[in-house]
Amino acid sequence: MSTKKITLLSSDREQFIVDEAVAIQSQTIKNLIEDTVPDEDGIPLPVVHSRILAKVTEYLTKHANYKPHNDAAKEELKNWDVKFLGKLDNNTLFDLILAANYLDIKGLLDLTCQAVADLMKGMSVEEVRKLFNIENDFTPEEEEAVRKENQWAFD
Amino acid sequence: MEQPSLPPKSPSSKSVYDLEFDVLTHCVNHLSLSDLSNFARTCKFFKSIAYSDSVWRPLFRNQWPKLESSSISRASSVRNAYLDRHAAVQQFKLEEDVIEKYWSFQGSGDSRCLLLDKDEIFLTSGSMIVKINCLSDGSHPLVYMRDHNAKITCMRLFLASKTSLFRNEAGHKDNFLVTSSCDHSIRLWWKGHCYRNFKGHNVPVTTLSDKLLGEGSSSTDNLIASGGEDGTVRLWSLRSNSKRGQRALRATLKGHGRAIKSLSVSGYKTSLLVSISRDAKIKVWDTAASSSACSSRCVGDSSVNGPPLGIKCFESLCYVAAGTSITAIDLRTMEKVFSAAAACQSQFYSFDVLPSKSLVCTGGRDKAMLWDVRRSGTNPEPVIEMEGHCGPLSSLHMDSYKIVTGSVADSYCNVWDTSCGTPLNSLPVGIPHEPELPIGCSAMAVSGSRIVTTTCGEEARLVYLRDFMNATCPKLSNEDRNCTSKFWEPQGISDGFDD
Repeated sequence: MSTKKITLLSSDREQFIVDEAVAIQSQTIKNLIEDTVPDEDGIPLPVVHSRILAKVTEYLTKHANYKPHNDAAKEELKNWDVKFLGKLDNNTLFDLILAANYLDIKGLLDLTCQAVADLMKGMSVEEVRKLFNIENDFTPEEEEAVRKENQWAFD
Repeated sequence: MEQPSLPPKSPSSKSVYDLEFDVLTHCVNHLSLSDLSNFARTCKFFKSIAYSDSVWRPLFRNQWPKLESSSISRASSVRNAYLDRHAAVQQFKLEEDVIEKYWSFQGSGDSRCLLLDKDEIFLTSGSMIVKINCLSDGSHPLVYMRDHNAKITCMRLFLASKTSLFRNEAGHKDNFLVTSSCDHSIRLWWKGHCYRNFKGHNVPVTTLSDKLLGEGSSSTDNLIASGGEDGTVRLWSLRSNSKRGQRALRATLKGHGRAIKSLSVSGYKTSLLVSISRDAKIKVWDTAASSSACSSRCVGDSSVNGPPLGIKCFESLCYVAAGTSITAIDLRTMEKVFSAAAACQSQFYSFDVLPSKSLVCTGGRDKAMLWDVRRSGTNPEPVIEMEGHCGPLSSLHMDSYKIVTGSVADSYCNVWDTSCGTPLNSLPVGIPHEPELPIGCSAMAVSGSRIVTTTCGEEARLVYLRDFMNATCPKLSNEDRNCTSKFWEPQGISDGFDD
C-alpha cells in the first residue's frame, strides 16, 4: 500500500494529512496533485470548511481501506454508510453534498443526494420549504397554477 | 427571488447558482413522482429544477426505454413529452402494440364481480372465484377457488400492509381478497387459499364495506363491515387468530328494516361507516363509539328516493345513486349539498365519483352523464352527456383522464375524455377477428393503463385484458379525423405535413 502522504488544507486553513490513495478518490484532488505545485502548507481546498473536510476524509479513509470482495463485506460497508449518514444533521448533510460535488467524489455525492431525497420522501410542500429554509416566491395565481400542473402525480 | 440557503462558502469555478442546480438535480433524481411534484411547488427556483430535462430524461427512460428519442424530439421539453405520453397511455388513446391477453372458461356471466389487481384478475361465477395470473404464459393461468357454497355477492381487495394480519409474511405489500356469499359466510383469501371464514350472519351476506374501518388510525385492529339480507350490519376484526373466524365478530348494528345494499367508509374519519338499505334509507354509524348498545352507535340518518344503486364516500361527502337521482350528503351536517335527477326519468345503472374534480358520472339507459357537484341549485343539468351505447350502461369507470362505459347490450366499451367528453376509443369485449357474436360486457375493471372486461353468456365466458402502457401510434378520434380531413389538402404533403 502506498504510504505517500498528502496534506489537504481546508478553507479555515486546517491541515488534514491523509494517504495519497485516500485523497485521490476525489477527482478534483487528483487533478490538483497532478497539475499544480502544492504550497508548503498543503493542497488548498478553499470551498471546504474543516468541519466538513473532517467528514469527507472520514468517508474517503473508510472507502479507500475497504474494498469489498464479497456480499458480507459490501453489506458491512453499506451499514457503515448508513451509520455515517445517521450522525449528520441536515446542514452538515447539505454542506457535505456541496463538498462532494466540488471534490468530485461520486460515491459520496450519490450517498448524500439519496439521503436528501429520503428526507423529502412523503413531505408536504410546506415541509420541503422548511427543510431547505426557502421562501415561497410564487404569487397566489402562480401557486395555484403550479399546484394544478402537478396534481396528476397524485391521481 | 429568494435563493435556497445552501451555503456558498467562497468563489469556485462554478457559480453558486450552477452548483446548486446541479447538486439539487442530483438529489431530485432520487425522488418519486409525487415527491418531485411537491418539490416543484415550493418556489420558482426549485420548480425550474423539477421541470428540467435532466430530471425528466431518466424518468422517461425508466418508464418507456424503447420510446425515448422519438417521443421526446417532438415535444418542447422532456417533461411535456412524459406528460403527453402518460396521458395517452391513461386514456387508451393508442392503437399499436397494446398488450392483449384473453382467457375463457366455463361459467355463467351473470356476476358483476370483477377486480383487477397488480398481476392478477379476480372474478366470480356463481359460488366460485376464478383467479387469473396475468403474467403466466404457460399452463394453468386460472385457479378456481370453490370454498363458498352459494352465490358470491361481493368481492373486495385490501392492502395487506394496512392490517396486522400478514405482518411477518413475505408479500405483505400485496392485496388480500375478501368475499361475501349467500351461504351466510364471509371469506378472506390470501395467496389463492381461504385464510379466514367469518360466520355470524344467519342470512345471505349481501355486501362488504369498500374500505377497512379504522384505516390509518393508530389502532392496528382493522375492521371490515358486512351487510346482511336481514338488514344487520356486522363488524369483523381482521386480527382474530382463529382460522374459522370465531370471536372475530365485534359488533352487530341493527336499525335497517330491509337488506343492506351498499356500505362505504367515510374518507375524513375512518371510524364512520355509511350504510344504505334496499328501501333507500341511509344510516351513519360511529364504529369507534364505546357504547355497547348497538342502536346508539347510529349517528346520522337520511334517505333518498328510488331503488338504491350504491354509495361511495370521499372526504366528508357521501355520494348516493338511487333510482333516477344522484345525491351528495355532507356527513358532518347530514345536509344534502347536491342533488340532481336525470331529465327523462331514465334510471341509473352505474355511477362513479372523481372527488378531486368534484365530478360524478352516472350511467343511464343509453348514455352517460357527467355532473359537477359544485353546481348546486334546484335542478342542476349534467355538464356533459356521452351517447354511444344501445343498452343500459351497467359498467362505468371514471378517473381524471377518462370515463369508460360498458353495457350488457353492447359488444364494446367506450372511452371518453373526462375533461370534455370527447370519444377517445372503442374497445371490443369479444374475441378479436371472430365473427361478431351478440355478446355484451358483463363487467369491467380499469386500473391506470389497464382494462379488463368480461362477456355475458350462459356457458363460455371471455376475460379480456388490455394494457396500453407500452402501446404506440396515437389513435385518432373521429373528431381528430374530421379535423384532419377538413384541413387536408393534397399539396399539404410537401409543406412538411406531419401527424
